[in-house]
Order: sequence, then structure tokens, then C-alpha cells
Amino acid sequence: MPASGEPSGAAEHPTLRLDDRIHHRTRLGVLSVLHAVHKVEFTVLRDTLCLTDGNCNRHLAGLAEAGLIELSKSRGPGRARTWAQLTPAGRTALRHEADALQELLDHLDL
Amino acid sequence: MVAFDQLRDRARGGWLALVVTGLVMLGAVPYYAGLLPRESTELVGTGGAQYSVLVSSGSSGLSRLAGTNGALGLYWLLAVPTAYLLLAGWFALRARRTGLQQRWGVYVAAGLGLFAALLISVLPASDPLPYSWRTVTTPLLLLAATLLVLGAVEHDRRILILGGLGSAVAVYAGAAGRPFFVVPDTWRGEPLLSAAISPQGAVALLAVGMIACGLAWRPRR
Repeated sequence: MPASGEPSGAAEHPTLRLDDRIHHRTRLGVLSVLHAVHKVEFTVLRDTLCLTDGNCNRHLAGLAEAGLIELSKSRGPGRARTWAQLTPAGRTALRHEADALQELLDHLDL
Repeated sequence: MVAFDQLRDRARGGWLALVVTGLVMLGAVPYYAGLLPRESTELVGTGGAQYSVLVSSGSSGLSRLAGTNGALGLYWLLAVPTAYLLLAGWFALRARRTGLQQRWGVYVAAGLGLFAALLISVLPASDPLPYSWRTVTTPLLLLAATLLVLGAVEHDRRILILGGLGSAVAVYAGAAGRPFFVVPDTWRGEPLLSAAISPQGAVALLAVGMIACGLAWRPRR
């Protein structure tokens, strides 16, 4: 066993592979919902994840800025609607995050 | 996981595509009846058993239909694009209403693209496509292929299985120049069984099965 503070030289701890861009309850929730359905409207995301408008907006904007989701607006009868969908980068990031979490769970002796 | 299941359930619309496809196929069944008349019946002895072999002179491929059964050809040419366009409109309206949208564009584009390929099969006999290819490019194959695409879009194994079954029925109903089926002597005189294994019987059974599955799989409110 290596001494405390010394690099082990072995595989890195799975928490080191968690992505700060998405390792947040809301952001993880958004990405997981978008993984289940191709495109989701803003109000459905907000209601599914029990968010306020402002909170949902903030996280969607952050994810879009990181290139993990794509936002689009549609116009039609009534109000304009905002739709969100995963980008390929978002899909990959979610998969890596899930792999890291799974490995962490495997290591925990719960 | 219940929340994910509910979301996916609400997003699913493939059930209506199954019902509409089944209805379109069912509507074609009367046109198929009598299209492939028994032209000869042979008794073939195999190991002492006696069989009747029903031989057809042609296929239900659209290239042949255009020449011999204009009504069926016209039915497919009108019914298939109409059905896909109606489904596309319904999917779009449903996405607006539920706020959930699957990749319906892929499904509709695949259906219309395959329909264009089907139209090519109506080319005159001098075209470069081999005859065997043209005989199996029936509208049934088109519908089966789009079911496979729909199953992939919806990640639904049940629809994929139906698409596979539909493909088998489509090839069976479209085969040409070969015996359609061998009827053992014990089956002769059994009209219901004979009807069930005829091409139109197979199409009707599959169509009814698809409609029933579609209605059973529609999302619960």
C-alpha cells in the first residue's frame, strides 16, 4: 500500500473522472431526461425535475454553453416554445459520468 | 426508474403507426384475393405422401401489379404516402401537445424514401434490376422495413419483432415463379386453414395482429 499523499501509480479514483459540468443534481437530471426522449420542451423539463423557471433556464444555458445540449425555439399557435436535445458530446459525457459513478458504486462496500 | 418509464411511455407514438400500417395492409387484402390464381395443381409424391402444389405464374411485386392489377397498384400509390403524411402531421401535433418528441422525422423520411424505391420497381422490364429483386419489392416489404426503422427510433423490441415478421410475410407474398406453398392432403378440404396460409391470409393475419398490438401498447393517460 503506498504511503499517504504519495501517488499510487495505480488506476485513478473514479471520482476523478466525474465531470464538474454535469455532476450536479439538476444537470444530471436534465441530461438523463434528454437521454430518454429525443427532444423535450422546457416546461416538461421544469416540471419533471421540480425546478423554477429561472433555475431551469440557468442550468440549460450552462449545459448549452458547454456544448452538451442544443436549445431551439419553435413558433406556432400560442407562445414560442423552447426545446432541448442532447448533442453527441452530451451523450458521450453522460455515458462517461455514468461509467464513473458505476465504478464508484462497485468499489463501495455498502 | 418509474419517472423514466412514464416519460418514455408518454413520448411513444409508435402504437398509432402500427394501427395505421395495419389498416393500410388490411385495406389491400381484398385486392390480393384472386390476384395470384392457381394456374396448375400438381400432385407430388414424397415418400409415399401425396401433396398438392399450388403454382403461381407471377408475384405481387408492384411491377407486375402495374400491368395486371391497376386497382391494387393505385391503392398502394395513394395509401402509403397518405398514411405517412398523416402520421407525420399527427406526430408533430402530439409533440406540441406533450412537449416530448421522438425522432419521427427519421421514420417518415425512411418510409417515403422506401416508397420512392418502390416506385422504381415499376420500371419497365428492360430496367437493369434483376427480376427476382423486382418481385419482392412489394409494398408489404416497404411497410415491414419502415416498422423496423420505427422500432429502432422508439427503441422498442416488440415493434422490431413485428417488422421482422412483416418482412417474412412480405417476401412470402411477393415470391414469384415458385410454389407458394405445399398443401398436404390432410389439409385439403380445410378452407379456413388454406385461407390462413395463403398470401392474402398471411397479410390479413399480420395486419390484424399489428392493429391489436398497437391498441394494446398505446400509452396510458
